[in-house]
Amino acid sequence: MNPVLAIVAPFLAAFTIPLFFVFRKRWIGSSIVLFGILSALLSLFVAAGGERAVVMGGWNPEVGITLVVDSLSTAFLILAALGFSASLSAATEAFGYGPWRFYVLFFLSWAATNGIILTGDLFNLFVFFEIFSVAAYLVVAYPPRSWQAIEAGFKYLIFGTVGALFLLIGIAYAFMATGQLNMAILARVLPRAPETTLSVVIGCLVVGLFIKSGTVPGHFWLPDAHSSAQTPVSALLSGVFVKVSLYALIRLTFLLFGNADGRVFFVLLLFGTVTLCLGHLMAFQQEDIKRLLAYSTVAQVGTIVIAIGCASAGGIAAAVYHAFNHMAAKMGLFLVAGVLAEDRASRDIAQMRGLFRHRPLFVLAFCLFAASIAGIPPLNGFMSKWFLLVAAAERGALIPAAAVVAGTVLSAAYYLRAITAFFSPAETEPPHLRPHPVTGAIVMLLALLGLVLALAPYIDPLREGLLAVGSDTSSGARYIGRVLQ
Amino acid sequence: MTRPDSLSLIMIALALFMTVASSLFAGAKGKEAFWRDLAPLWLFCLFACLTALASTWLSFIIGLELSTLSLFTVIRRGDEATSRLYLLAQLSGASVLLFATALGSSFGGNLPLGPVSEKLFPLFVIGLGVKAALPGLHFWLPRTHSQAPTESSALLSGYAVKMGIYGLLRLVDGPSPPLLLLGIVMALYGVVQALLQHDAKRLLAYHTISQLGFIVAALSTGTPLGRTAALFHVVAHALFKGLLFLSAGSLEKLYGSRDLNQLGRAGRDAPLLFGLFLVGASAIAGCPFTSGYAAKIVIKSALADQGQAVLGLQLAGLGTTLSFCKFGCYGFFRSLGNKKGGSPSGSPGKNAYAAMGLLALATIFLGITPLFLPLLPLGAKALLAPQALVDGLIPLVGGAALFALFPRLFRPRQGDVADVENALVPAGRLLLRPLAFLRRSHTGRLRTYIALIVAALIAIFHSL
Repeated sequence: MNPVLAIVAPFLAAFTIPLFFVFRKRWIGSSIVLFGILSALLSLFVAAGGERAVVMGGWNPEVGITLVVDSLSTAFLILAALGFSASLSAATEAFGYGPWRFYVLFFLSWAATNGIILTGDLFNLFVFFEIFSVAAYLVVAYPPRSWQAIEAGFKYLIFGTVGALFLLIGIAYAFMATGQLNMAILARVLPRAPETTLSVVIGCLVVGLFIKSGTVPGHFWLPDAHSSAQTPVSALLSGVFVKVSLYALIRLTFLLFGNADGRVFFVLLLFGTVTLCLGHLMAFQQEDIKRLLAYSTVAQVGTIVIAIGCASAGGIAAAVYHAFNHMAAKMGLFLVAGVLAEDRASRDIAQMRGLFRHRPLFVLAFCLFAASIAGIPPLNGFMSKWFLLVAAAERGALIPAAAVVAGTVLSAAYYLRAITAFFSPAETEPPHLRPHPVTGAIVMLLALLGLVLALAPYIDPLREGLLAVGSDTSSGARYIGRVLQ
Repeated sequence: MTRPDSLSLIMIALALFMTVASSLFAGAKGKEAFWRDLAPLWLFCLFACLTALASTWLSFIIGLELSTLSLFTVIRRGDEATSRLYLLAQLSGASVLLFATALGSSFGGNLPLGPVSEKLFPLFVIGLGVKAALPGLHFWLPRTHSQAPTESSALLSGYAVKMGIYGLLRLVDGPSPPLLLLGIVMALYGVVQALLQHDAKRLLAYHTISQLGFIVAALSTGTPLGRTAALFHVVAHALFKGLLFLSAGSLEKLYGSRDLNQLGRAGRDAPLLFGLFLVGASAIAGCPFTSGYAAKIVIKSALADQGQAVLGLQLAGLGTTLSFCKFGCYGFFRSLGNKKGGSPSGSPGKNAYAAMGLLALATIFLGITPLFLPLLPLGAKALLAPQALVDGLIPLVGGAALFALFPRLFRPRQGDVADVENALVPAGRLLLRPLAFLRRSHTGRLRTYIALIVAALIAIFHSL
């Protein structure tokens, strides 16, 4: 199956939903569901189709746009498909099918995400990043009624634009130095560029991706965006959007700068550690549950950046594994927190008492996800943390490893605060608002996904797959060979 | 998983026995009470057994953390804040262990449970030390043991801290002078603190630290004799300390207080309880022909070439006798508070007596068997040698004499005695101050943020 279908299907959805609004209003609801299923299935089929590289329009790789499916993009395609479908189902329950503009933006961001994951062309990557970001700014500010959401969207817009600027400068310099935009070709010729040029290219690309992914010092937009957005959007932001930028970070650092004597990885280790510490310490001080989760996401981004900075196959495998685990757990946490905050009509942790008696299953799921994120054995978060620690130890990165371990205790402390509030008795019973069957089902599925992921090191195909992602990506030779065969 | 050796099997048997006694004491009636009270205890037992069966440090840590979590749910019912302290303290210890294990596991498979390289040794000792309450790392223990529900106090003192000792037993394979020093310091510090307490369970908690000091000192020799002595004392201490905690808990059930200032009538009201307490107290004081006596004789002979260490342990033994004279006197016979002596307001119940009786029988059994069977490497005769009897009687007689001569000195006091745990709150506040700065630095001013990003960019250019 041609990989381009995974990009085209969501685009098709985004462009036909307005047409349905004009011509067949009654079809909007069913078309959203059908397009959602179609996009997810096509992404999964492309992922299952095995490795290949397709040059669009039959041009040479130097001129045409390449789409590449390799083990890393397979993993992230699956991640995006799972995350987007979970978020879409939650959104249909939260918003209904009325706000069709939201779904247009949603499918646009899905298409752009798949594009970022599949493209083999540096400029094309930038273009997809722009589509993705524009959709994301608007999705965050949706519905444009509360000024917090608009302010958060505006902040995201400013930061995203600065990040895009740096990305563009980096790509432009790379193009000026080599005359190439195809990533596989760049991987061969870029190392021959002058050293100063190379460091400017690396610096600009890395800082641009830091801003997009919410790594310190580009994290300032993230807590606002996550906490002010609607629940399904927060889950999507944390579960998928942040991971896409991390995918680009893995891809570019290893493919383009993998043999730049490892200095870029030192930068990643440094900034990852700072991000991790800052995220945990800030989360520790939050009173707002969604802000707490948002800062916890910052900390987890730091963890994944550290894993990338380990510059080894094991590190990449740990990063991808942790990205999946974080997706499963943090999406679940945001969904549960959204439901509970709605019951109490407040996001203040001190107000969220007595919710265990009110919604026991949701609260228990929250405990499970929180324990997984904090890294309590034998849950999935612990497993990926263990592989990360081993990779860091092999790299000799003791301080980042110690920070990861200390983060466990801190995150247990702040999640315990929230959980204690849920379990403690309340003065007033929360009013019983509407039930959330769809959100509940998604939360259960995410919990199940978490349990499967916890067993991943013991399930042969999954383990082999993760290790293959690591070994394929760390050298880059396989990727280059496939594109330029 | 490899075949479990005798050490693992003994630990598993101990875990099962202690859990049976604890759940007998908890005595849940009805289905809901079963799930609430007993299920966490047996879950703890399950994870404790898995920990004892672990063949790598990683699986050891997994078992350790899971057992911590299951006890956390029990302690939560006693006191919320204490349970959080317990969980976070144990998580910190396990995190240090995990870090050390990851360092040891790089480039070549999981680190097998056993001795590790010299560089990692201190990290492992710190990680296990939180569990085993080494000096300075014991900050969680007195509060947790005293605030937890009684059945979990017995399990905590009887088994949970022993998991740290089990780890140390696997870790130490040669003489380790620093560990010996730590052991002696623990033994003495625990006793001194215990003498100053007036809360019965807190007093017992400090004795746990003190007795763990004996065990750590024994295993720090690294000799087979020392290891056997440590293991024997692990079992003996679990049994008699479990018994003592349960009898303190029964006193609390009877009179609604654990304060030695408020007690002092149980000798008349519940003579059976006093008898059971006496079994435990004589064992911990090292009265001849009890399990504590046998353990201490073997420990001392393992440390025979360390004169000062033996002297330190003798001193600790003397303090132990004093402290239990005080407990027995003010807990059961001499009432300081309410002179009139009201009748008890509750009853420990049959199941509590059954649990204590079980532990008392096991304690007596463990005291008598080594006299006939060569259970210990020294043989039965060594325990009956006049020299050993004199050695065992010195702290006993000395302590009792001191208590009789200076009774005012050892009266239970009011108020609390400072310990490391009192430093936790100020230390936390000190650490939180820079955090407030971090929070304030997130001003929401976009100019500042973008300036920071540019600064980071320049820093990255510079480092590349």
